[in-house]
Amino acid sequence: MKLKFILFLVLLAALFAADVLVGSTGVLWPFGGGDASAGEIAQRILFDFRLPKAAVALLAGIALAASGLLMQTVFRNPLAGPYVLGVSSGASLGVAVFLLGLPMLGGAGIARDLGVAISAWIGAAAILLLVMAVSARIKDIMAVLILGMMFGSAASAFVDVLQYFSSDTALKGFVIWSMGSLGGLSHGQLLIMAVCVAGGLLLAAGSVKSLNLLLLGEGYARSMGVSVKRVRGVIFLATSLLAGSVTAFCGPIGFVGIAVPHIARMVFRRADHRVLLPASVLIGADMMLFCDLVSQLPGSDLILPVNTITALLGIPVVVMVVVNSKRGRMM
Amino acid sequence: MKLQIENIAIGYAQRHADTRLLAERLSLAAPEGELIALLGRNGVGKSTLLRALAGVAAPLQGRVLLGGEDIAGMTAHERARRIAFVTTEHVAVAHLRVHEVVAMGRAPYTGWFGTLSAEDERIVGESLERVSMGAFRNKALESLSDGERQRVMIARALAQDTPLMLLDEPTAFLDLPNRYQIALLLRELAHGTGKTVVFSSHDLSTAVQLCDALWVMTPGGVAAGAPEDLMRSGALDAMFGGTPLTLSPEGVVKLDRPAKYTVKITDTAAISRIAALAARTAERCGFRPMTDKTGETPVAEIKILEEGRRFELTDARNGTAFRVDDFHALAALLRQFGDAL
Repeated sequence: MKLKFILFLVLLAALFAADVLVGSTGVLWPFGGGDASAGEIAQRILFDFRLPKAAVALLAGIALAASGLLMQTVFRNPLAGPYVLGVSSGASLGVAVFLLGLPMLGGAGIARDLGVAISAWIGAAAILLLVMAVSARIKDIMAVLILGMMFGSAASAFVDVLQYFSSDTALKGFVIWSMGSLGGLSHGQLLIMAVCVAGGLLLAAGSVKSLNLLLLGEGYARSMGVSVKRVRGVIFLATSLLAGSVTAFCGPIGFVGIAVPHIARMVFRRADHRVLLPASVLIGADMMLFCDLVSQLPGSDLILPVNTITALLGIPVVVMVVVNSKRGRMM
Repeated sequence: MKLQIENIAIGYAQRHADTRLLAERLSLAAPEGELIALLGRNGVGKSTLLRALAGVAAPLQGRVLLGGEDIAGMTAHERARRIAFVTTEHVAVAHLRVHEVVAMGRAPYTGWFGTLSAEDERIVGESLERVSMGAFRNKALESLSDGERQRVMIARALAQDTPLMLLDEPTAFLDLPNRYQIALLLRELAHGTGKTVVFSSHDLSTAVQLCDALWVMTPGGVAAGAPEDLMRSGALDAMFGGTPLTLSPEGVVKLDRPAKYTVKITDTAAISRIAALAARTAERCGFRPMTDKTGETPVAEIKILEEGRRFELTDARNGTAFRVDDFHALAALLRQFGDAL
């Protein structure tokens, strides 16, 4: 097990380095020769574009994978994830309301960034609350999933309506946001994101024991002294923070949250959250860095939306899980 | 520790309706070191009562005392060190290993990360040995049979190291030998460790044979006592009120069916076992078997021939006789005969 962790760590370092060095301007050798001005340009590309972008990919992968794992355990649903249950759409709705509905509050700089983040958390939390309320009554895995998708679609519909009624300038700002990308984040945005992800991860790490007990079922967890209400509350907070922040700054990114925990289970063959949480976080970071690397299509000027790459990688895993869960397995 | 139930009412909240009251004014006691089976028909409130005893759902009224202390006044953490509960929840989690499940029983004693001390490890190992699952330590829970899985869940409850252990239908879905083995295991645990063990069950015959006391729950209340006490008082039969089932003094449940006609059984070879089987066959086909002494007029006669290897069915009205080789063919004849009557 230790070996697997080390392997994924080495992979992470390699992917991070590759993601920083390879980009639309070709392979960058910042410390190798050349004249002074070329070196300076290389340095600027490195520190203002590539390093922040790689850091965002890292954070997004960590946050999405962790939130997916938390949701799967708390909902006792192997197909739960921030994207499929509509939490990302909820965050989009929050951002849309902020950017389109209240453009006068828009402001600029760090205030605008914080506004986007907070509205995304509120939107994510609202949908999560709805799905949690529904899943308390309906135990059917598929039914909860379909309802999550409905909530997500409803949120998207609201966003469409908002777009229709908004001014050109507000619309432009929102459309740029909604195309989503790991790049283009300011250092301030990166800082907000890092703090949020760290906070969400801390909340999750503090709940590993309760999450393990919840694997047996709520009755068992309660009988061993777990306050199910409290754990739910903490996980609710952590998930909103993690999934909301990513959506706020990178736009909706699908299939990382749902697929990565399953890859972690397959690779590590454990159900213990003390293993699964760090494993998911690590694999999530690896996967996002890899997707970012691929999306830049080294050697060409094209940049694909990272969302398409994550979908292509994640969907086969999800299909496999669906096939397995139809055979009566929970996770 | 002694479990006392004082005047409790149980039930559950319903949507769009008043609270459904399942039982009220229940007072029961379970002494230390006894195995108690909670019996009763579906929907009578066995699970609700167990949940109230476990402190998972508070009773509508009254108190549950463990060692003289009201469990409603304990924190969830304090309760977890006193009451272990094996629920009916089916655990279907991939890659979850047997010792991990049992180690979860130590949760009330470990820190936030759940790290096991050497003492915790020892208790986990001991619990697994006690349920004879020591060899399955590193197996995945998923790979076990239902009986083995139930043993693991019991080991988890053991590792919780509580004076009271509650189990909700631990023998459901198990085959007959497994049901006896689980009940035997619970009996050993109660007598060997001094725990009070209460389990709900639909399996009357194991309960009657292995439990120190039974709590028989009917819509009218709960009758408690040793199996024999409840048989003497007829409280055990109350479970079957309104059904064609009756309980024999041996604790065997029989289906009571009205028989219109009588058949006489003549045992030429005098093998009482074969005669008893022939009587069973007749009963199963809707006839009342009779011995030579009773005064009724039989409609037919079953003769046991050739030391029980052949049977002859004779119509008492006209004397036609048929010979068959086994009970299966005899039963077919009897059914035909019964239809023609």
